[in-house]
Amino acid sequence: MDNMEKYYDQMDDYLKGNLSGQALELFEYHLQNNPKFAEDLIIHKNILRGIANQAELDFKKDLDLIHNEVIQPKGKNRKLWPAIAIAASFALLIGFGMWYLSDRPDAPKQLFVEFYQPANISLITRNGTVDAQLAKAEKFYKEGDYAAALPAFLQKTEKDTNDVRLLMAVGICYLELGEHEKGVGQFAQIFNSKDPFFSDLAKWYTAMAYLKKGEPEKAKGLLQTFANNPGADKNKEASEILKRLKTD
Amino acid sequence: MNKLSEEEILEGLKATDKSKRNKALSFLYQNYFPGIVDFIQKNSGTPEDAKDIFQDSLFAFYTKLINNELTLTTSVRTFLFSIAKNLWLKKIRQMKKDQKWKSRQKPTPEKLDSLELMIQNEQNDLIGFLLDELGENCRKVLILYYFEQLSMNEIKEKMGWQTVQSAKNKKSLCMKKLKKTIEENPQYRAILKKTK
Repeated sequence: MDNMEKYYDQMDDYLKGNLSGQALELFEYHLQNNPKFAEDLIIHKNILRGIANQAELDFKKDLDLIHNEVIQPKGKNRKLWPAIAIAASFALLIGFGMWYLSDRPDAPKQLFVEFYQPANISLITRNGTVDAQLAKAEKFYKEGDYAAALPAFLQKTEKDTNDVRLLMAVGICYLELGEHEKGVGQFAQIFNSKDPFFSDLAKWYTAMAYLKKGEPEKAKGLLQTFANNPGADKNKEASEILKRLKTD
Repeated sequence: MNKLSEEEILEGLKATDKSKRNKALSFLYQNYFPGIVDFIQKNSGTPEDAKDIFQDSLFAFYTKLINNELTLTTSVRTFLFSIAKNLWLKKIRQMKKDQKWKSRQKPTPEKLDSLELMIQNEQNDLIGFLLDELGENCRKVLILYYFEQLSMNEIKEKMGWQTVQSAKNKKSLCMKKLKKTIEENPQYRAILKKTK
């Protein structure tokens, strides 16, 4: 191994955090006292980043080819007529389907997709203090990692069963994880909350859970309470859903 | 395509044989891409966004795997989906921030970040160009050693060279040449000045 190779290897080790003890001390001493050495390290770091960037471009070129093969099958030898015939059949089917479906109620699950949004819940500042465990769970919640957020929320609800925000957060996590029954059970605890905002929110998400489960009859009663109250936050949305479920 | 087990997927991705790696990638694409498209379309994205996010997720997954930084506590599918979901939510947040700062004139932390990113991209493009100039063998050997983390013996096999020593010499020579061309490149010097 020549000196230059050793030099590069040492830079690699330093950048990967693999240098320790005397070797690290010596490396850092050179870094502080030898400007040429410091500059070399910057170049080395940039080269490694440039190489990684090239590797990413190569990898994505391969992925583009795979994408075209797997997702958008094309082929020079492929005969066009069968494809056109198939496309035409689909067009006919879609046309017929649209005519047939235009006068039919929307599927509850489709309405769920259209109207559901996870609630914005802020738990970090409670009683003027910052709870680190909740802050972490809330971060997971906001990033959409409900599986990671749920255990921390559950642990907190065991200690504080009256915090409606926590109960709501747990309910949404269940809903997102496909455990609709548990979500509905969670929201039910908030129905009689003194805070009308959270009480309404719980009813709304219960209705959403029923739509997701494909049980529109159970959702309709709850949605009707919003539709009957012009001042309700979800009045318009509820009326629209009921209309599309063809309630009248 | 035949179903691959989790182990077969990971082994395929780590294989030095590119056709095995691409077979594993095709399997992941065929089975997991539709779920990502569905998620992104339901969250205000387009199929093209889904393609970018899925490819970024696959690359992040692959990089972790070859760097031995991957600890799988869930299935590959759940892991990939979680990376994709986080990347998409991050992108949405970034788009919202960009819109928020659009009308403001003062440099903000976000703007400074993107300036740094622009300089980095400029550097990456230049190094990519200079790497191409060194020739295909040099480009390959440096990527295989520094990014794919292959051993000198694996590189020797892959490149069809006679001995491990000749692979080492080639790698060393290519790195020296690249460093020299970069140091002497006026464009690189100009980019460096922007960072000071």
